[in-house]
Amino acid sequence: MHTDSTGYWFGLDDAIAFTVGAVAGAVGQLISDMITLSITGEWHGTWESYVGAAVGYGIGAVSTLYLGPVSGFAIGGGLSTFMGQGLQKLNGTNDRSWGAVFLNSSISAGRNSWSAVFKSGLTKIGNGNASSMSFGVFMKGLGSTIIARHLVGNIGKGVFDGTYQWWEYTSQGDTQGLGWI
Amino acid sequence: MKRGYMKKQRIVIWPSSVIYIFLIFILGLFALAFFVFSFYTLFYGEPIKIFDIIEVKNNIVQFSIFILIACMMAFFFMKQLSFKIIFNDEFLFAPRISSMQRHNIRLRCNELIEFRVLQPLSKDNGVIYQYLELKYADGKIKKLWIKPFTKKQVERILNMIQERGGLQNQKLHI
Repeated sequence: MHTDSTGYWFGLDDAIAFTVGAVAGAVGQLISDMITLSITGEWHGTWESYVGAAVGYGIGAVSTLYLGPVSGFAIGGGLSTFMGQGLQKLNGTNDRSWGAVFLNSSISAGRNSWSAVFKSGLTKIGNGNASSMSFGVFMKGLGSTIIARHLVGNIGKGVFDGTYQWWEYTSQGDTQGLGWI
Repeated sequence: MKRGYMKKQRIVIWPSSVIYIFLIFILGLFALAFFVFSFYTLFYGEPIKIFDIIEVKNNIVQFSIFILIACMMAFFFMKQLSFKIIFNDEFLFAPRISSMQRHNIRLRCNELIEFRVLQPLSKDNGVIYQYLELKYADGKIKKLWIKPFTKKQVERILNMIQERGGLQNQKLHI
């Protein structure tokens, strides 16, 4: 007779990873939206982006256990973007083409943040040895990496928009009559 | 063939955990979709804004971005797909796999005296990945990544080590 007193064979570890990934994904999205709100004064968050971030990063975290950080978090990053923007498209919240949704997802998966950030950041926290990384370090690393990804994405977009507007203003003048603050 | 073990009787155990197979399927689907979409952008692509910031109009640039990502995903997919554990009359072999198993594993079964299962995300063992920790008589320890295998498969692996002369004084209860 097979017994599983710890529950690990049944998937307790998968459940823990999914929960941490999902919570960190949603919290990261919230912080990201709050930064946008403070900069622009407008709330851009939608329930679709929160569902996408939670489910995508939840699956991403589980994937890490089975496929390792590179493939696992490529899946997580890609899925979160695809689900969030795909749901928005289906509900008519945005008018991106499916091509743009897919491109954004693949860029998320490919560049990903996860492979680069997770590997260089998280494994370094664990003294360069993922196989001996502690439970606590994993949890902290996972959460902070997901949140950092949202922050970097948001700040990056803000910097790009600001720089682009500054360039437009200096090269073409105040075409929209908005002035330069 | 150089490696002698390949000539002897080989028993191959392919991972069959349901979640693992599902994730491999997703990874394969991603890779396939990226390949299909990269060619779609080459012939029919419309201007696309990356993260709503940078507009990419040129089809060849779009294709180049997609095909690079597709190749990367396909590489990871193939690497995962080829993961397995092989037994011959004396040895257990497992391939190197990025992050989880840093070297190719080659263990002489009859020299192994003890095992324990390290569960992932467990406060007791404190590891991310699930390992079968195998101890040699001289105290040397080897870790075998077993997360993609089912409990039954891990029991089979332990039984096969025992059949080859190892783990003689330990109950194979996991």
